[in-house]
Amino acid sequence: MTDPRNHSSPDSDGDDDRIPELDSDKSEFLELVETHTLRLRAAVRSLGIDQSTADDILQDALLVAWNRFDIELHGAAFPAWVVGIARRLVLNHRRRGARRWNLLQNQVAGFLAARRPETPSLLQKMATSEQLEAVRECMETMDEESRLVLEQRYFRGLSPTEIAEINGTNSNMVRQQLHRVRQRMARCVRTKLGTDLFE
Amino acid sequence: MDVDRFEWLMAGLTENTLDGDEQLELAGMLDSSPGLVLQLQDDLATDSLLVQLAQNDSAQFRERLLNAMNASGRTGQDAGDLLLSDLANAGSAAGGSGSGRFLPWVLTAILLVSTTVLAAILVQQRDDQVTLPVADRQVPREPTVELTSDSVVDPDPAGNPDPALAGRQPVLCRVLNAAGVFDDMGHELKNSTITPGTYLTRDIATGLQFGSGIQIALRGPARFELIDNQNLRLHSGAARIVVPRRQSGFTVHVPGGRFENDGTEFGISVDAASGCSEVLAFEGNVAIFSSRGEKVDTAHEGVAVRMNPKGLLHQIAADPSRYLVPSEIRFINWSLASLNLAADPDLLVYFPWRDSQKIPGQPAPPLTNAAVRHGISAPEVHGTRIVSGRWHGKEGILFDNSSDYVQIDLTRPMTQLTIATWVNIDRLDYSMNSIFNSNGWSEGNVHLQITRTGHVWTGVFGDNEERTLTQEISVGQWHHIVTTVDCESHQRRVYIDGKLASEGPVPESVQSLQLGKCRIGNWLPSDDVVVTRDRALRGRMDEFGLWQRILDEKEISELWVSGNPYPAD
Repeated sequence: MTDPRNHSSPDSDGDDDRIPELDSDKSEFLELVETHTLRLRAAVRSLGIDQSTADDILQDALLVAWNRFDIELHGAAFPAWVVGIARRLVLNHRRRGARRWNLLQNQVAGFLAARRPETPSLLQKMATSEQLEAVRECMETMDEESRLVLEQRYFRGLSPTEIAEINGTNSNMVRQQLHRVRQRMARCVRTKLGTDLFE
Repeated sequence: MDVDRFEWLMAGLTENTLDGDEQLELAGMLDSSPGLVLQLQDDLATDSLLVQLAQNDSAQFRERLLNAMNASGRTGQDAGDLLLSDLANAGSAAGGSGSGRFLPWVLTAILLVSTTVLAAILVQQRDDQVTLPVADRQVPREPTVELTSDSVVDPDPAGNPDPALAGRQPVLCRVLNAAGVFDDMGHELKNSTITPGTYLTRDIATGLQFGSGIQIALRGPARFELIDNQNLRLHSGAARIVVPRRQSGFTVHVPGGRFENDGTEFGISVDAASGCSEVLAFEGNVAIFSSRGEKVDTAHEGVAVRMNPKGLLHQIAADPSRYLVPSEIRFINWSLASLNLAADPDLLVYFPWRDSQKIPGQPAPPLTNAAVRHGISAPEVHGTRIVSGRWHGKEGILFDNSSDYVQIDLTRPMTQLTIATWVNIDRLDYSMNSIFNSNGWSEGNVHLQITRTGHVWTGVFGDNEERTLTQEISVGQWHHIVTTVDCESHQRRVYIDGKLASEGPVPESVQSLQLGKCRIGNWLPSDDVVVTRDRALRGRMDEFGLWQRILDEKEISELWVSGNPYPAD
C-alpha cells in the first residue's frame, strides 16, 4: 500500500515526492504517539482548554498529522508539530464561530492559541537520571498540607468543594491552594533542571 | 495588576469554573503581562499531568485514536477544519522557529510522571486486581489465610496463640483504615486483621495496630511486608512507629539494611524509585544495621539519617512533617465517613464542626446545618465557644455557661428518630443535664439527658415507665451517645460507645414525635416547672446528627468506630 498523498508537505520546499510504506509509517506514527501522549495531552491542556476537550482536539490534530505524516520530516519534532496543528484547530474553530467544543466562550484559549510560540528548551538534552533526581527532590520538599491536597484532588478524585468540607475550609481557598501547590512544583522542577542544564 | 485576582482567575480556569466575562478578564491580564502566560501554562500542564497520573488513561486515549485512524483511513486530505496554510504555520513550529512557550515546562513536568511511576502503579490500581512482584524476603512467609474482619481475632498480648487459630497463621496486626489497603491477591481490607504478607496502600493514611500495642501510622501510597510481630519491611512510603515503652527490638527492613528501635517512637521512609531510606528518631534511639547484620551506626533522638541501597549513610536535616501521627489517621478516616454521613437523605440536622473557618482572635462564624436537603432553618446559637474537638485540628463546641445553647426548630412530625453525638463532659452540675431537649415538655417531645450520676436517659412525653438506666459515663472523656425512638415498634434505645446500653418502651399512645423547638446543651422549661429548671450541659460536644429514621446497631457501631478518637482496643 502506498501513501496516496498528492500534494507537498508544508514543511518541505514543495517537491516532496517520497512515497513511504504505510504500514511502517503507521507503526512509527503510533510509536511516536505512545512516546509523547502525556506531554501532548498536557500541552493542549495548556492552551486553557479542559482536559476532555483537549483530548478531543488532540485526537483531531493527530488524525490530521497522520494524514500528512512522514517520519523523516516530522519524527524529530513530532510533539511541537502536533501541538502546532492543535493550536490551528482551536483558532480555526473560533474564527468560524463553530460551536463544537464550546471554544467560542473560551477567550483564554483563543488568546493562548494565537500566541507565537517561543524557542523550545534544551531540556530534551538532559540525561534522564538527572531529571528524575531533580523531580524526586522537588516532591520531597513539598509540605504535608500540600501533598495532602494533591492526593485528595487527583488521586481520590475529590472536588474542591469536597476537599473544603474535609479540610475545614472553603472551595475557593482550596482552588487557590491547589493552584499555588502546582505553581510551586513547577517552579521547583524548572529551577533544578535549569541549574543542572547550565552547569 | 491585582495578583490575588489573577490567581483566583487562574485557579478558576484550571478548575473550569470561569464564566465568559471572567475568561475575558483573564485573557486581558495575560495580554498585558506576557510573563503571566508561563505561570498559567505551568498550572494547566501540572494539572494535566497529575490528572493523567491519577487516571492512567493514556492507553485509552491511544486506543480511541487508533479506532479513529482505522475508521477514517489515510486519505491524504486535510481535515475540513484545517487549511494548508494552517498546516504550514503549524509545521514551522516544528522546524525550530518556535514550539510553544509552554513546551519547556511540559517537557520538564512530564518527568514528574516518570519519577512517580511506581507510586502511580500503586495508586492507579482502582478497579482491576493488584498484582505485586514477590518481594525478596528474609523470613519465609506462610500462605495468606482468607481475610475477613471476623475470621480472625487479635492475639493474646502475652503471645499465647488463640486455640481457635491452631494450625492457622496467628493474627498479628489490625488495619485501621476504612479503605484503601490491599493484599497481594488484590483483596481490599477494611478495618481488618492481617497476617504476614505483602500489602500496599493507595490511601494517604493507613494505621496498623499490633496486638502487642505497637502502632504504625503509614503515609501512602506505600508498600510493605509484614514479616512477624517484630519485623516489617518497608518498600515505599513513610511510617511512624510508636512502640510501648516496655518493648524494644521492633525492626524495619529497608533496601540496604534495617533499623531497630531502641526507644519509643521513630519514623522510617523509603523512596521506591531511588531505593534510599531515611530514619528519624523522635524519642529514644534507633540502631542502624547493614544488610549483613552488622550494627553500623545509631540515630540518636532528633537525628535523621539517610541510607542508600548500598547501605551508605549520611546525616540529613530532620523533617518530622513527613510522618503522620496515629491520631491523624483516625481524623482522616472520620472526615471521609463524615462526608458520606452528610449525604444520608434522612439526616435532618448535622453539625460536624469541621468547617467553622474560625480565625484566631475573631468570633466564630455562624453555625450551619450540614444536612441541607430538608431546609431546616438555621440554628440559633447562644453563648458557647468553638474549642478543640476529638483530634488535633478538629473543632467542637463548648457549653460552659448556664445560658449556652444551640437551638433548632423541628416542627415536622416524625415517627422515627435517631440522635447521635460525641460529648466530653466536664461536670454534671444538675440532676438532669441536657444533651438534646425539646423546649418545655408536652406531647410528642423528647429529652436526651445525662443524670447527675452519669446515666444517659431518653424520655418521651407520656412515658411513665420507670427509667431504664445505662451504665455511667465518665467525665473528661469522649463518649459516643446515641438514642433511637421508634413510634412504629414503640421502642427506645440508648447506645453508648457503639453498644446498646438500655432499651425501653415508647407508649402505644405516642403515634408520632413533635419535637418543636429544641435546645442542644440546655433546656427551656415551661413556666409551671418548679424544680430541675437548670439543666445546662457543662462540657464539649463534637459532632451532632439527627435522623428521621432508626439507625440500626451496625450503623451505630460504625459511627462509633469512625469517630472514636482513642486507639482501638
